[in-house]
Amino acid sequence: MATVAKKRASLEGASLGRGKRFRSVLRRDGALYLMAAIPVLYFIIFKYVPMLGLNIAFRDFKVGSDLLAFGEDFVGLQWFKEFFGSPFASRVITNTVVLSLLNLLITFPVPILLALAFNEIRRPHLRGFCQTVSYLPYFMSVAVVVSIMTNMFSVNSGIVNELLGRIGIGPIDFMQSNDWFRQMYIGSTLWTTMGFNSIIFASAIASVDTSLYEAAFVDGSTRFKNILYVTLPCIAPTIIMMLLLRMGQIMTVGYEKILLMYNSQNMQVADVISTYVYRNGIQQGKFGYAAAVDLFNSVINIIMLVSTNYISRKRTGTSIF
Amino acid sequence: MVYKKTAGDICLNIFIFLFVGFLVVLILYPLIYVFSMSISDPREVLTGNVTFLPKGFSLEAFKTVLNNPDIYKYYGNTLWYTVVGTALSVVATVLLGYPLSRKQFSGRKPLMLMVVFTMFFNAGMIPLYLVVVNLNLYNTRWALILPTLTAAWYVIVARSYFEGMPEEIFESARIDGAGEFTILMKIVMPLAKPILAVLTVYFATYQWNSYFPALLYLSNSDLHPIQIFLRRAVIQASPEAMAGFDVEAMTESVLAMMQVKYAVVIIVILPVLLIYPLLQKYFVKGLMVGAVKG
Repeated sequence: MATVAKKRASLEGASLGRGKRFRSVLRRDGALYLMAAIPVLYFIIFKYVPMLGLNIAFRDFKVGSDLLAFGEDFVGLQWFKEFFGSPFASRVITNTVVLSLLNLLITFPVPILLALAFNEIRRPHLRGFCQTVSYLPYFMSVAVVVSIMTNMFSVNSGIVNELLGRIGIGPIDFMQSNDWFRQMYIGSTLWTTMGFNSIIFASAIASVDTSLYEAAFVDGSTRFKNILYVTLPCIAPTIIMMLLLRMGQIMTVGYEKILLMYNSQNMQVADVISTYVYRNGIQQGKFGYAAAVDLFNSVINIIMLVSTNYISRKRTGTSIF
Repeated sequence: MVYKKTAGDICLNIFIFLFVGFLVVLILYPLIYVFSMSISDPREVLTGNVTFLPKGFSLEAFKTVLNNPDIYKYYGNTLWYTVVGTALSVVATVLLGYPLSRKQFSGRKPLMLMVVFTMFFNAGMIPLYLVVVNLNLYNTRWALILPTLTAAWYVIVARSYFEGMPEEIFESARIDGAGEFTILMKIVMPLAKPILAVLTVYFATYQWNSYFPALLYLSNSDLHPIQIFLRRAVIQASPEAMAGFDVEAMTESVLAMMQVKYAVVIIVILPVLLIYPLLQKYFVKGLMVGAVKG
């Protein structure tokens, strides 16, 4: 149908002049363009104008200057040099990578295990109940999650220290300590996302051809062996794909939760690139400098995404694009 | 199929039972604990006797919270952002998702490219902040709605859904002389309830739960959503934010503050818990639609 329409349009276009062809396209698609106008305007103003606005990473931008005046107060690579020359560069980059890698290491495999385990629960109601419960924390906001954590792990009234005290440990100030920040961050992320992130793997498992299991049983396989040699290889493409998506974001640690969790006591390990950008840009008004740091981060992210994608395509044949 | 149960299978069953059981308890424990703390007798809370289930029963903490006029202001703000933001977001997403799903649409490829590109590269916080300030949106309610009106992923989910509709419907409507707007309103929309529900649930959850845009764009606390209040009152324990709670009225004033914090958390998550079955259903559905062609 589409090719017929296209052919018709091109025939009309060939026999008519350029202006008329434009008009015939407009008559046919005008209404669709009109519909798309508002959302397209949104994408231009709030996505593409900010992209152009990144030019301030090379400028001495001050409040009131024109965001899109490209050459104005040009400073070249000054902000990048300043960032890499400061002691903060290695600190925030290390913190970002370490937190992100540890987070990936722990929060990536658990949903896969969870999906495999759910699949082995044979009673549909019990399985449904477990799945429903496991998705629940995903709908709690970061502010709620950190609130609950702050309350429960509080040093003088939290339940955790209360219970630890009974067996003679602590008190430990979990929320204000360099030693505990990463555990708290990763633990709460795991709590929030493990159930919901298992959905994608569960749906991959559900689409595995059941005749494979039956054939394996006939050949003397057990349920455990089936998981290892049938289910896992079948869902491997999904696993690789999700891993790729995560690898592409290895240099991204969201500021939302950290801004709620960090304080002067755990700043040493909690300060990551995105929170550093927020502090310098929004709180101190060093817009050009902050934009430069953020731009550096985005460029690394793109390189990571493209290269992991390339390696995966070469090695496994699975890729995002 | 029927097969013999081996010792290994039984071990596997036990292991799975323990693993899933442990995780389910781990997930539910904090929520039940927060709930228990908020409705227990204040004396039991203060002596640290509440470890899991409620001890005694008292609504004093909730009374204290609900007697604070600030709560209604922030709650009202969040409701406003959720209702208005969700409505506008759904409309904007459909208005782009539908044209992109039409195969004969000449703008399909370039506009799709424009949308998808934003998935891989975004300008980040600083330039967007400056755009919002330049548009005079700073310290207005629109700052929480317009900058996050829609996103590539939602547009693609909507597009996938519309693409799945049978082409014959559109053909016959066109033969009957219907324009694209008529087709969208009279024919597509009545059939699009599932995707509208999915989008509504996504945007509403986002608006209800988000706090960062408010931190970024709103310095005027009269416009703050409830999540920002949660940050100030519970996480930062700012005395100024807690001042609105008349804890003197509670039995033991100083430490009663703690129980109030648990009650505030419950009040913030209550609506989410109430519509959770709906949320879950449509989130999973959206994930599936998105995964097919995303």
